[in-house]
Amino acid sequence: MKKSTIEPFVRNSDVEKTFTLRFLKENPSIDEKQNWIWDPEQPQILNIKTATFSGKNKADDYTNE
Amino acid sequence: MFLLIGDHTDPHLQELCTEINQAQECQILSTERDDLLDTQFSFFSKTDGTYSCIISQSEKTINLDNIDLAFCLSPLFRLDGKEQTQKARFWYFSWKESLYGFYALLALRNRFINGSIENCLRCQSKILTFPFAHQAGLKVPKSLISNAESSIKDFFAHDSQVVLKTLHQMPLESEGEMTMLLTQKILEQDFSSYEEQDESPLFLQKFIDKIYDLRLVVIGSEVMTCKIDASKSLLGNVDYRAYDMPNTPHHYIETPSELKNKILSLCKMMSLDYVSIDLCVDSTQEYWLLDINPFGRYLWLEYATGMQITRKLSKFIQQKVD
Repeated sequence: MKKSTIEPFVRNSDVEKTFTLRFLKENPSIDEKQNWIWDPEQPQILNIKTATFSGKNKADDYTNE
Repeated sequence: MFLLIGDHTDPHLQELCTEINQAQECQILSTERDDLLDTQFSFFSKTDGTYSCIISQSEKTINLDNIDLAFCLSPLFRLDGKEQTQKARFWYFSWKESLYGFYALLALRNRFINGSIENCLRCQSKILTFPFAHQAGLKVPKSLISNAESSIKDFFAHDSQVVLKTLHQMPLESEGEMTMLLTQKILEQDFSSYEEQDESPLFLQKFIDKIYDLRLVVIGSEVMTCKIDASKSLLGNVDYRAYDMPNTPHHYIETPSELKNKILSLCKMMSLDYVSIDLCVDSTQEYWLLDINPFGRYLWLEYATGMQITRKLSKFIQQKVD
């Protein structure tokens, strides 16, 4: 049988180590109904989605490949 | 015609497009996966050296020759773990080559805010931050990017107060929920089991005992500054991106002139017209540069403080062509 010489695109390997990810935590739980210690200008801020809230980062930084 | 590039559902692009459209034609080229599935891209080059590039997406047609200026917040959607099949990756990288070629043509014609995609990507490099900041007279906390055990130990030997940061923010999962890696304080003991073999470089920085953060949005020669005080937030006092908004007052402040001059000098060196910059301020009123992001977001600052960032960005984009 002919042996393929093509390198697979992604090798499923557990060799790579990422020490940083040991410190990954769940999103902090924020009680949005608690009293605010300040007054935002526009109420839309209550609806803003951020990386930590939704994982679909819209409000703050988003770096790209 | 003005072109905004990114996710068409991104409220930044939607609000900016609406604002520009009041005076001039503006369109969004969506770079999200689902939108690209329904997009036709045609670059055609003749033997005489002339070429055309036309993109059709959702009943709109974008002709390279008609674009006065392009502003990009997201050049292409992220390839996440679900897209790891050979076919999906081939599809993704074919789109990447095509779109990045289109962006390069815009840059060639001097039609791209921040010069080019390559310049944006270069400028968000954590490592490049250090020499440019130094040249501009801005301080950056002592930092180490390394996977070498001896270097990490040495770093802790000189600074016991250290934070762990990420070199590259990306969607991550914890306990089945999406999350992100926030900057956090870390101890030398946390590295007791560290072994450098097969490790990737990590990012350590001397902890700055800050009293508040500053988020700066630079648009041309204008520097808008928001003071973000997370000192009363138990969740966000190290990294305000925990977004404990009820306990994190945001206020617009006038940018101190000396800081403004240094920031504008930095942007000039990096050839950036638009960028968001994070700094923190310690109890001696020293400014410390933390991050530079040419794709930085700002809308939550606008909602929090009433800062007119969208309007100013819209005017800047239009005036840059005039």
